[in-house]
This record gives sequence, structure tokens and C-alpha cells, in this order.
Amino acid sequence: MRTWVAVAFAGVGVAALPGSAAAAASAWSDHEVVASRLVAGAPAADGSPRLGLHFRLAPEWHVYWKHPGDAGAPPEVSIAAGAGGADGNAVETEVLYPAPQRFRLPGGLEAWGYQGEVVYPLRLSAAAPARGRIAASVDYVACAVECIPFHDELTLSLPETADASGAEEELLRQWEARLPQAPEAVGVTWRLRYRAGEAPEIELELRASNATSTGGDRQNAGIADAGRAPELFLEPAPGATFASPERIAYTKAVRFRAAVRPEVAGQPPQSLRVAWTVTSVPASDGVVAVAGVTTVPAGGQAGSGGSGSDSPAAAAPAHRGGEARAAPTAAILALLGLAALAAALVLWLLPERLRLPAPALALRVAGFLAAAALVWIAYRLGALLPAARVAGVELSWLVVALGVQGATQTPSHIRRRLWLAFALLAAASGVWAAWPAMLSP
Amino acid sequence: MHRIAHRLVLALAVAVLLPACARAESAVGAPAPDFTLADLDGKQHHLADYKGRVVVLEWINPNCPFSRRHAEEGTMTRTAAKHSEVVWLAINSTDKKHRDFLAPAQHADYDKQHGITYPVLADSDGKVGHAYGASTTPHMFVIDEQGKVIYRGAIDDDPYGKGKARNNYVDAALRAHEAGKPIEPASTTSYGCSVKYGG
Repeated sequence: MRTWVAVAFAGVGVAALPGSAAAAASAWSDHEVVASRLVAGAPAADGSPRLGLHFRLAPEWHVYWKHPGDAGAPPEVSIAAGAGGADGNAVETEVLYPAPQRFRLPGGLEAWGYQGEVVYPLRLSAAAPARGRIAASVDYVACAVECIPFHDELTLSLPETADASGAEEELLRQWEARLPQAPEAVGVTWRLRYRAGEAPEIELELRASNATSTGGDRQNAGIADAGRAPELFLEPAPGATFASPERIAYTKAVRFRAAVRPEVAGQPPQSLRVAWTVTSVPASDGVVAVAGVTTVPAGGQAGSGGSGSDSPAAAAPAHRGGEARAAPTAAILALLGLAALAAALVLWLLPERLRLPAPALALRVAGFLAAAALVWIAYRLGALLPAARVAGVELSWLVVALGVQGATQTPSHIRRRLWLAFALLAAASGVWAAWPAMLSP
Repeated sequence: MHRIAHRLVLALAVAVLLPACARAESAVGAPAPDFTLADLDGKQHHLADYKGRVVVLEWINPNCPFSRRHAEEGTMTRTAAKHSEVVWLAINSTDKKHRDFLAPAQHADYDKQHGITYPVLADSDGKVGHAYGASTTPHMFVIDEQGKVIYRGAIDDDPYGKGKARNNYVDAALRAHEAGKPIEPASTTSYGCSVKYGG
């Protein structure tokens, strides 16, 4: 493991070579599974130093976001400036958190954080000196199968002259770009609803303002086409926490639902302060993470168009439009699909069961057509089922039957699953075994 | 052929009908899920038998550094000693196949070394842990005389044990409850290792 760490750091250690009077990075504090260092970029506009806390982790290990999920803990950093190192003048420091990842743990638990590498940008108070010695005292925990807490002392001397093109500056910029942004700043509109009642839940919808609907979802520049599927991270709210969100992605927007778990049983908060972050959102600046803190009353909704974060509940109806119209079609298609599936099974199974002679040509053609219809319906359902769910249509029996619930469903995912289901059913019906006979004259 | 077909249909049914795993959580004010678990000596502990007394549940894993630090610092044992009328039960939900799992004799050695005299209950199938929504070690639950959860969350506000003045939430909850005052906070975010449930 030590070899791994040494090799990983060989290429980036130049700036931290001993003997440098001033360096844009501290030496690495090297542990078996993780290493940390402090990096400095060119000063901020207000003259304060721009720093980052850089971690490199062995495979499988992760460190944490500001809210760690079900377990773990975020890092804690104290910065001191001046000749006294760690005993120098304490500098007010805020740790900033790039867009996190979600890690599934055994037992249905989740951890939220970073694997491989991360730089936490640090926001220092404007009073911090832009030159001289900086000392960071860092506590953090890294976890894989097990967890190990670490304490590192990192020091660096800020360079006399700012190097805006150095490797550390580039690294810092790269990770600053991964900090969540205000949705309005990147052309993303959003709406948050809070449904109270016996099963309180919130629903968050995001739309990229440049998304266009041109019919087929492959032509859309919608949120679901960002490559990596968007994920929602919800921090605990005063008086409530949230269940793991369910994502309903489709071509033009993405909608998440999450059950609200009141802190006091049966008493959901009258108004909910929701700190939310959505990752992998295509926006005017490319694929970004967006975040907001929104207070929404029970039974109400809030959304962009006003001041954004902490905007009061708006009376405007939620987006339903095309998705609502698509829902009945989806239901009809679903029923047609099931009917076709039943017909195909009868066509393929009965002759064998009843020991009838080899199927006639018409029967073979019917079998092929039924199979083609099933593939086409699977393709269409992939797009329409999420849309139907977004529109609030309860297709619970169908959704469960087709296994399309869960937090990772995208149209292509659903299609793959449906095709697999049909292929398995066809195999079970004996169609593959009968294939050569059907093809032979 | 038909046997294979039936197996395929069964596999398909399992694959597509597998419901989303919903996690239970025992909210503050809700009845604490009842359980019967054996301690390291094999003695059965039935939560309902403790009705009329305040019960503290501590999720424990001696191989978790957070749990171990609190054991070495005596956080739990000191708090338990301060509230001697309270029933303090530790629960270990580590799966038997996980490398953190300790056999009862090893666990007993660890408890002895760290002055843990309260019962440690084995929940290696994780049923009780899941019923409570225990996610970390340590994870604390305080249950009142009527069997309702009155506090759930972290033991304190110092994840890294940096020695600063700590707010021991469980101690505060027990003191507030004894004084008939509202518990504030009644719920916090726990920290520590994940509970090592089975897959």
C-alpha cells in the first residue's frame, strides 16, 4: 500500500520538495490508505490566501462531504497564520465541499463523500495574511470496510509572488469548479414542494433552461442526457430528516421525491428548511452541481423565478404539462404490452404443450411480430413510465411488476431491464429452443 | 427444459419484483421497537420487561475506532454511572461474517478491559439495529418509562475527541428527563463507523 501512495505522489511532489523557501503546497502527510496536504493558489480578489485541503485515497477508501450520510464525519480544519505555526494567529476558516458521490454500504446504508482524490477549497477570512507561514490542523476519518480517524498537521509558506499558472493553482481551480452553484446562475430552474399529511414528502424538480423537447428523447438536450445521472443530496433539516430520495429522470427535467421523517413521530414541521444539492446537472456552463437552501411551508411550494434560495412559497402550479398528457398513453401502452406478452406466450407455448404439429407460416409470422412489438413497447415504456410517474400517476402495480422503482432509473436503464425481462420470459417459454424449427421450412 | 424454464421464470420474478428496501427509523415520540436479545452470557433481555424504567441503547463495535475511543475515555461508562437508575444496554449488530465481528469471549475481554459492566446484547442478524434505524457506532437511543423514544443520535458533539468542552447529548437528555424538562435537542446526527450489517 505504501508503494501505491509513493507512486501516486511522485508526480506531484515537486512543489513540496524540501528546501523550498516558499511553496504552493505543504509536504504530504502520508498514511497507509490516505495522504493529505495543503495547496495554495493565487490570492483571492480580496487579497486573502486561496487554499485547498488535498486528499488522495487508496482504492475503495473515501472521505466525507459536509453531511456524511448514514455514517462517518466531515473533516474539521483549523488554520493558523504567522511564524508560530499551529500556535500562530487563528484564522476563521470555512471548509467548502465539492459535489459529493453516494456510496452504498451493506444494510441499506449510504455514505456521501469522495473516493480517489478530492480538494476541499478553504475560504479564509479577508483578515488572513496573504504571505508567510500557514499551519493547518486537520481531523478527518477515512473509511472503506473499516474506518480510521486521522489527525494531520500541515504547514506551508505562501509564495512571495502568486503563480497563477502553477499546478496547484490549476488543481484548486479544477475543484473550485466542482463546488455547487446557485441554480439561477447557471440557467437551471427548480421547484420544491412539501406535501404534509400522514406520509409527508418533498418533491424537487429541476429543469435546464436550454432543454428543448423535439419529440424523441435522443434529440433532447435535457437533464437526463448529462451522462452521469443527477443525484440529490439532502441535509438534515431542523425537525426532520429525509429518506433516500427516489429519482424520476426523464428527458427534459429531473424530479426527485423523498419521504420526510419528522424528528417527533407524527409531527412533521409546519415549515421545512431544505438544504439540497443536485449533482450532474447540464447547465449553461456545462455539467455542474447546483444547490440551494429553501424554506417551504407544509402543503406549499417554492421555486426559482424569485430570489431562489429561501424564496417564499409560490402559488404557481407545478410543471405537469406534457408529462401529464403522456401518462394515460403510458398506461395504455403498458396494458397493450402485457396483453402482447400474454399472446406471445400462448402462441409459443400452446403448440408444444398440446403436441400440435409444427407451427404454420402464419403462426411463425405472428410470433415474430409479437416479439418485435414487445421490443418496441419496451423502448417506448422506457421513456413513458418515468414521465407518467413524474406526472403523479399511480401505476404502482405495474411499476412494481416491472421493477422500475428505485433511485437509479433512467429511460435507458428501464429499457435494458424490460428487454432483459422479455428475453428471460421468451427463454422460459421455450422460444429459443423452438427457433431453429421456426426458421426451417 | 421445463424445469429450466421454471427456474428462469422464478429468477426473473425475484429480479423484477424485489421491492425497494425501506429503512425503518424510530422517531422521537414513537414507541421503541420491542426486542429480545441475548447478552454475552446468554441471558435474554426483553425490552418490554424494562417498562417503567428509562433505557439507554448504545450501538457498539469494539473494532470501530469511534466506539473504541469512547470506551477508552469512559464516555459511556461514566454517563451510565451518573444515572445509575437507568438501564444501559449496548447492542452489537455486527454481522457474523464481517471481520469486525467478535466472539462472545473476545467481546467479554474487551468489556472487562474497558470497565463495561452493563449488558452487551448480540444482534448479529441486524434485525434490532434495522428496526431502530441504527446506522453508526456509536448510535444512542434513550427510551422513557412508557417505552417511547425520547432521544436518538450522537453521544456528543465532538466526533474527533479533540478534548474541547463536549456537549454529552445523552447525559443532557437524561438530566432533562429526570427534571421533567423538554429534551433539547431530541435528535442529532450520529457520527462514527457504519454499523457492519450483513449484505
